[in-house]
Amino acid sequence: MVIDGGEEASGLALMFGTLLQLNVEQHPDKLADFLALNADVVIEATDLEQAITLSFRGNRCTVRDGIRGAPKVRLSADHMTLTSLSQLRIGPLGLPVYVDGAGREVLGALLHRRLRIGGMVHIGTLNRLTRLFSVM
Amino acid sequence: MPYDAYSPEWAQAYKDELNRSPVYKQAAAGWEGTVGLVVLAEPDKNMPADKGIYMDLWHGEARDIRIVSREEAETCDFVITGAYSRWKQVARKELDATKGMMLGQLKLRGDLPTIVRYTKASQEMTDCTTRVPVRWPDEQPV
Repeated sequence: MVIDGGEEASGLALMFGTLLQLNVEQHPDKLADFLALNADVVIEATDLEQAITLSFRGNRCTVRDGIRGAPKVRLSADHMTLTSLSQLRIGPLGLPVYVDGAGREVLGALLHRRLRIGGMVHIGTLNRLTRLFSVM
Repeated sequence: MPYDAYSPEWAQAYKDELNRSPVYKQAAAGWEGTVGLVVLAEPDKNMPADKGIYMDLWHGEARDIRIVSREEAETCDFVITGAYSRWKQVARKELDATKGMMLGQLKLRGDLPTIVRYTKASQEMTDCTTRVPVRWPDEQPV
C-alpha cells in the first residue's frame, strides 16, 4: 500500500489508504480480493470536495489525491455514507448484506442518490471493494 | 449550570451523560479500550496549555473520564488530537469527528478499522457532549 504524498496526503487518502492496509493485514482472507483487483477506483467525498484514486495493480495499491486515469468504478457520496460502506457486513457468499441497519442505510443512500456509483456494471470489482473495506 | 470546558467537573458531567445514554450503551456494547482526546493549546483563544481527556470505555460504559495531561492522554489505546477550536466545533456539532479526520483536522492514532466499526458510538459521544452545558474559555470576558 502506497499513499502518494505520505503524511502530506489528504485526510481522505490517509484514512482510506490506512483502512485498506490494516484490513488486509488483519484479515488475510481479504488478500485474494486485493490481488485480484486490477483497476482504478475513485472515492469522492462530495461534502468535503475531495476525491482520491486507488490504483490496484497486482500486489500494490497506490492512493493518490484527485481523480486520476480512467477509473473503472467511482463512488461518490458524503463522508458519512462513505463510512457506512465500510460498515456493510459480508454474507456467507461473500456478498454485502443489505438487510441489516448498515445495509439499509446504504440502500437508502443509493435510492435517494446520496450515493452514486459509476461503473456499477463492474459488479465483481464492486463486491471485491466492499469486502476489502468492510470492517464488520 | 455550565461547566468550565475540560474541567474535572465537566469531565464528571460528561461521564454521567454518556452513562445515561441508551444509544451509546448499545452502540458501544462491544467496545474495549481507552480513548484519549488531546486538545491542543491555542493561547489566542484563552487556551494556553494542551489538555488531555482520558476515557476508560468498556462495553457500553464509561468507567472513568478525567482531565489529564497531554502525555497521559497519549498513552491511551486510541488517541485523537486536534486544536481547541476543532474540538469546540465538534462539541457544537459544527464538525463531525469523522469528517474532521477525513479533512486532516483531527489526527487519529489507533486501529482505524475499530474506530470505523464504532462510528455510531462516536456520534453518540458527540451528541452527549452537546448535552453538557459548557463555558468556553474564548467566550469568557478577559
